[in-house]
Amino acid sequence: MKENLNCILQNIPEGESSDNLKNIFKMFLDENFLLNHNRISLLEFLEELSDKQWHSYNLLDPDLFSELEHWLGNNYSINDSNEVELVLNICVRLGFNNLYLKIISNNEYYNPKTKIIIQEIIDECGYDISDPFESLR
Amino acid sequence: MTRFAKAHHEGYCPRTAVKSGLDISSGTFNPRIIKNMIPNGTPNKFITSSDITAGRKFQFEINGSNIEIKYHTRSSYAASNFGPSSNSGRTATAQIKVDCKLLNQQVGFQRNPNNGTHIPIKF
Repeated sequence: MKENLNCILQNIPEGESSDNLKNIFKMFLDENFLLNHNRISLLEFLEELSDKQWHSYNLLDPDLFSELEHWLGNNYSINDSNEVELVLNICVRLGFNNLYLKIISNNEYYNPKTKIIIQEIIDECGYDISDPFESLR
Repeated sequence: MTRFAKAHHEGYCPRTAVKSGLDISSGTFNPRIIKNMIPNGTPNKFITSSDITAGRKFQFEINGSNIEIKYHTRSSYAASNFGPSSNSGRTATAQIKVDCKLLNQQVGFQRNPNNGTHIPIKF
């Protein structure tokens, strides 16, 4: 099934429009799609898809924003540094500031490796990632 | 020793190698300098769109590091949304990724894209 996800990503053009990406995000949130893939594959897929969204130079559609941030907040393990890193990278690319702040403020619960990753991301992105395009303005 | 041979030499650091394409003083990148890093036969996986009309994307592995070298024409979306303050909206840019981290114009590596990871191309 992971091959299918890679195939979808490999066929998305560079500079794909946010309108077309919206359809892929909708497909992602479909129950059948979510049930057919394991969590780490979904997070890796979503990180790549959020990178495509960033490179469309448009914000994620408001209709999808809350639903996707909610799904993401319920689908990672704080004990898995790889998953925490993926979720934070997705937050930064899509501007999920609430989830981002929630994750970085729970620092005492993480293992040492995760703490290092979180600190590196804070050093890189700061405490307000609500505008993913701040550096372009 | 060719650059490609060096790439497979023990101790070779892909991060250092890709930095060689960067001109620090001008903040530009010359893809030709690191062209020989790309193993022969590596396919160009770049797919164009109405926004980006031409480019190259090569993904390969050296000494256990996953490398992506991508460069393309300016983005019309970046130009219309952010104007000349955006590197991608102003000119052709390169994005160089080593093990999930992107090279930036300040010769460092970072996890997430921003203006500085879209490095203007100068041949």
